[in-house]
Formats: sequence, C-alpha cells, structure tokens
Amino acid sequence: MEQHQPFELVELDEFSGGGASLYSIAFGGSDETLYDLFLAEYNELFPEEVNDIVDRLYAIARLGARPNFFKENEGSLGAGDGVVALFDLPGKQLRLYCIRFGSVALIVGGGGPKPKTIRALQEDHKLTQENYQLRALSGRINRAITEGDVWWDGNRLAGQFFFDDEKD
Amino acid sequence: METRKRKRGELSQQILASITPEQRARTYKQMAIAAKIADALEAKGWGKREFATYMNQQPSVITRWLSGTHNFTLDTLSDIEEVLGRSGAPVHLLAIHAPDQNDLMVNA
Repeated sequence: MEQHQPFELVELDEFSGGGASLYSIAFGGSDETLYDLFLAEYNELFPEEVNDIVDRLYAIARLGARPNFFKENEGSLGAGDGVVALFDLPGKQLRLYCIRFGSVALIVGGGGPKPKTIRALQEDHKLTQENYQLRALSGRINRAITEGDVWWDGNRLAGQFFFDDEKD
Repeated sequence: METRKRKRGELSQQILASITPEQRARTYKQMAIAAKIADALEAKGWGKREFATYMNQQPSVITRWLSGTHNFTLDTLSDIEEVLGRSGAPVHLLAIHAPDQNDLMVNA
C-alpha cells in the first residue's frame, strides 16, 4: 500500500456557500494548503487568471461542483479518482487540479501553466507532479471514505481530517 | 471535526475582496446559465452531441458553453432558449440573479 506523508484536509471557509463545500490539503501541519501555495506562486505572474479562478471557486461554492465546470478524466485512466481540472478561460493557460466528490464537495489542489504548445500534461514536469500528487491523495481520501473514517454530513465532509499512515 | 485556521487563507480573501461586484456577478451568471443549460439537457435526456446537432454547432462548442467560461451573446441565448423550449417547459436563461454581495465572507 502506498505510503503518504502526513496531511490534513482543510476547509476553505471563505467560500462558504450552499452548493458545494471547498477544501484543500496541508502537508505536515503546515499553515499553507496546496491552494494557498498555488495562489502565492502564480498571483503575481498571472494576476488576471488567478482572480478568475478564485471568482469561479466562489460561484462553484454556490452552484455546486457540477461536472460541466471541469475537464474530467484528468486522473488515472479508468480509476474514477475524481481528479479534474477547472476549465480555464479561452486563450489562458493556468491550470488548477481538483478532486470532485459528486457536486457537493471539492478538494482544491495545485497546478500551473499549461503551455498551448503541449497536449498532454506529462509533457510538463510541474503539471505532472501536481496532477500525480492529487491522484495519490484522492486514493488515500477515498480509502478513508470507504473505511468510514470520513463521511458526509449534509454537503460537508466530516470525520478524521488528519491522515498519517505511520500512526494509522 | 473543526478544521484548523489557515494563515495563508488571507491571500485568497484579499483576492476575493479585490473582485468587483460587477465582475463577480458576471462570472456567477455565466456559470449559472451553463448550469441551467446542463440541467435542461439532463431533463430532456439529450447528450452534448444531440444538442450540438439541434444547435448546428460542433460538440466542442457545447462543451465550452457548459464550462461556465463562455461570454454568451443575446442571439446565442435566444437560440438556446428556443431549442430547449421546443418540446417542453420554456427555459429562461436570463432570469438569473447573482447572490447578495454581502454574503461574501472576506473577514472569515
């Protein structure tokens, strides 16, 4: 079974809305989630695109994490791991990976610019790293749901939000 | 279980606060219109390809419409309403209100 460094699910409560609950992931007790790191890394380089992404997340919290808002099947082929990419504006290149749990919960991960010169994410080291990391995390979180350590409370996740395979 | 407060959540809140109410309403409405179209397609049992045929468009155009990133013209919205309303209840794509701006928790 794959071993992960300890991580925590953190609710992004600035997006509190009736449609979907938004979360991100912090490693090793860090105050910075993958979403925070994504904003910090790209806010100065791509300010308009980052603003648009935050604006869309705000709308998703109200309208739900509907499948049509995302490029699906960005995860392992046939794995059904819920890894998706938020649709970017035409002509823009900043890609944000997420994990959808139906339309009611969304875990926001990291991402990066996807140059128009490449087709597959595997052609870009940073995107590959961000995407594969989320695939692995999705597997671990889905296992926790299957085992009853994480469950649904309305449209919010509840239960054990701290994952440490060494202690489990 | 209560989740821990994030130190860096401040940047997300700053960016949210910097988005004008007009921009936020535009983005919300683009996505809400996409959601309404998706709901109507599901209610009719139409796939993207079938809808594309009725609209004389490529399926990739429908994907873009449904993504919530498309800036619809009035002509396009009118055409979509006509096609979706042909055999069933009318679909009103323009009757969308953005949420109250006061519900934005910039100081959460």
